[in-house]
Amino acid sequence: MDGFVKGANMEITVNPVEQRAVVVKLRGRLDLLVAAEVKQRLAQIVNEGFRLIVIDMSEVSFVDSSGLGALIGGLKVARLAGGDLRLASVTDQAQAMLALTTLNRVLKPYPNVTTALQAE
Amino acid sequence: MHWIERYYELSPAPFEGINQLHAALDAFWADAEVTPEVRIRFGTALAEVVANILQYAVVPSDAPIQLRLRCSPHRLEARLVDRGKAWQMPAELVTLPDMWEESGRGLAIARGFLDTLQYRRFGNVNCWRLVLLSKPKPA
Repeated sequence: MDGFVKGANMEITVNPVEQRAVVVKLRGRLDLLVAAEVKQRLAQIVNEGFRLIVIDMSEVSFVDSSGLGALIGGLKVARLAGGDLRLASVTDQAQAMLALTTLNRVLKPYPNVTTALQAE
Repeated sequence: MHWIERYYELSPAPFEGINQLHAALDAFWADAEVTPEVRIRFGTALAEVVANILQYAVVPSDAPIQLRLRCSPHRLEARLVDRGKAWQMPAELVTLPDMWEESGRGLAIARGFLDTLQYRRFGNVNCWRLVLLSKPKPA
């Protein structure tokens, strides 16, 4: 499941950390060029049985509204399966986007991956 | 802060156009002395408007999108000109949609980060003007 998104500036690395929890590390720009692919990967992860997805955002240099849409899509799929999607190590630009859109109410940013994995 | 004005051309093809926009912003920020917060607000808003043009106005065979970036002591300004379809901008397109919607936030985000977001149609040309005053708006 790891790899670069074809033709775009994004690398996705998927690391299962527990039986039902997975850390997805994104590197690059999360924008309209990759949003559909990222949303599809997140749905695939849920289909494989993972229920807690933590997205490590520390190396995401830029997020646009399409990227936010992919995260919302992933969150909906995870919640429908009885799980959750959490963001960790969110950069200042992504924090500004989440705050402006008030999506930080449902995509609550956690300071790091460990905290996101352990949160109730 | 000095007056700085730069002109760029962006491809109407999404992959090239978006990469060229980020390269243009990187080059512009190297010369313009603005705070990281201002860069985030202005750069994000500009990227949203360009993404809208690439998705809904132009097709890859169209003429390049013209971008002018201007930095003056009290304001940042961008002007975008394209020869794509006319844009109808109903109010709901600059209003944030429901929390669970996966699209429809782009122009609302741009407007939220800026002091002015203006669209006008001149003949067969679309013209967008984005302005951010140097003092950030209160949260």
